[in-house]
Amino acid sequence: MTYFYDARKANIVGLIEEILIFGTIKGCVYALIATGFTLIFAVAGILNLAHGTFYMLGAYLTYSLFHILGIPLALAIFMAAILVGLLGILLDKVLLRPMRTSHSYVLVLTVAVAFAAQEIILLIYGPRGMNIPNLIKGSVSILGVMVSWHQIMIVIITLVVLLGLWLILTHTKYGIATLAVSMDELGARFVGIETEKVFNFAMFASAFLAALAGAIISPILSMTPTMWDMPLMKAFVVVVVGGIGSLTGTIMAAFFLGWLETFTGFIISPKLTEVVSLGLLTVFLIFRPSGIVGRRLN
Amino acid sequence: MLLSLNTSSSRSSAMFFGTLMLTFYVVPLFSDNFYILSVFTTAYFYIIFATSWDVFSGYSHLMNFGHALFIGLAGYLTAFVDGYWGLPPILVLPMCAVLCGGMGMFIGFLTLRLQGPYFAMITIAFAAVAHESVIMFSDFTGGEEGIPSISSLTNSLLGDYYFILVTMTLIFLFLLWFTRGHWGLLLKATSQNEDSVLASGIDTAWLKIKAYSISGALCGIGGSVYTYSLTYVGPTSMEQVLSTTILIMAIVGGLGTITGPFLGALILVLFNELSRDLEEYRLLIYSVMVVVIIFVAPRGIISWGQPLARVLGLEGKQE
Repeated sequence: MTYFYDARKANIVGLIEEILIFGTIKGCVYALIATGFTLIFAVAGILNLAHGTFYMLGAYLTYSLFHILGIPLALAIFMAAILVGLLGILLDKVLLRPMRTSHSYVLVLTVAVAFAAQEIILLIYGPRGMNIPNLIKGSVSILGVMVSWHQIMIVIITLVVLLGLWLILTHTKYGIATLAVSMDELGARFVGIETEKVFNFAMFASAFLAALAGAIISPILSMTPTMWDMPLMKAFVVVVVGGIGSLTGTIMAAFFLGWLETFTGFIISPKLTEVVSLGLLTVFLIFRPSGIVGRRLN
Repeated sequence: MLLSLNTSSSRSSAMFFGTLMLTFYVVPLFSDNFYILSVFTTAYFYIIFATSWDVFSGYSHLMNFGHALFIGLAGYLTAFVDGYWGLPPILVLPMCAVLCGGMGMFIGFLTLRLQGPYFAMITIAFAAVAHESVIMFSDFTGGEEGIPSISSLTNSLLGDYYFILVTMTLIFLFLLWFTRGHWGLLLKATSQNEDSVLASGIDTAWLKIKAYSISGALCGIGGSVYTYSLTYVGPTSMEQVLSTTILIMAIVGGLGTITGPFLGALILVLFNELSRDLEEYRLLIYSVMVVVIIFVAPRGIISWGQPLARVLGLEGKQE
């Protein structure tokens, strides 16, 4: 996935600027995906292997809403994210709820859902890669690096959405209840929090964020029915590096991974971009399994 | 469970699997049709993959989503060794077992010491990156095209058939011995109550690492034979789809029984051959099937064996 690749700069300062800028854009997408992944795990204990599927569905639904129904792009992206969020709740209610206590069944069910969705998308849209147009056309030069307006929009959308999530989690009743459930589910139930409602909220937010990431990246990276597996893996790496269940750690780790991958891609070889995340994962699992933030695990 | 401590049911299941095995050995007497034999050998490969998956994940309930990593690793090692040195299969198989066992030990060392959901995710991560790297580093691996023209196992159709069948039988018997004894009991106990096993003075982390390593080594042997039989290795040998197919076969058959995944693999491979027209819906059918099985018969189709045997009168009265 060398999708933010541009012509190399001769001077070293230009190179560093480029790595920082493109790494940030990559990090934004990782942050969106991984935040949702860690949220639903922290709250409901669901390790959702269909998380990449939400990302994929976000992209394909946006495509359908925009190209087939002719809805304006910005609205189509928003509607697609909402729809996928509702789909997330449906998945949780119908399939996962009876099995939630068994980790292994949740894993198997979500992976089965991911493959079923992949096949359905393949039947409907075919294997060909597809794109949606940029939100805003044209590009601009920042510090001598050409960046398209769409990439700037990715950063802005990510910042707004993550800030919004933070505000919801810390300043609304729902958000505080969510944090409470993530700390101690039984305790939260004792003080009268309806955990099912909180699970709905967490699942919705999680699927919404993933779908949004898939939708805003698809002008740059074409969508295919198998696009879900790498983001899922990246989300996992980010979550482990950041510390399982920690939102701040996850966001920090997302940008760290974005920069590190871009750095490797630019300086060493674009072939090694995908191996970076695995190397990072291995190093963290050996030396610091609890991640950047987070307490030491057993 | 078919092979439980109950002696009468254990006898009927031993009879059933014995007959099945015998049938496999005499199939070539009735038909030397290339197609029929190749369907059976495909089934044997999947039986190796699914049962070797089961020995770790079925017994410990830690889901391994990247079993194809071992198939691919063994496949590429086979291709390299065959291409550069031309060693005979009988020497290559142990090398593959050692490589995959070592890989299993490494992954196990990384994750099985920790509590938490690390294992399932890291198996996906390793398999995905290995698949991606195989395509990227095309100078060594041939990229998407893979490495063709690996020498065949024995140069004769029947020779190949019996080589694969004997490998499968040995692995199956080894797994039965392994899981029906001390080790299987410990693994099962660990998955149910790890603290009490720890309290008995058993290093559960090391136990799990060993079991995972054995699972990898056996799958590596299977992967190597698979590669020889196809005379080709490519990124498809490492795909996530393959890992998931193996997992689905084992779950449909019945987790933690060895005999269940054996039946699951056999039935799904035969089903697959009978429904060639449904090729493009196959994965969809599989994924829906596993969801249904989890809700209808969470212990897999092997759990239908005992009531069925009773209905058919194969089983003696309970003493």
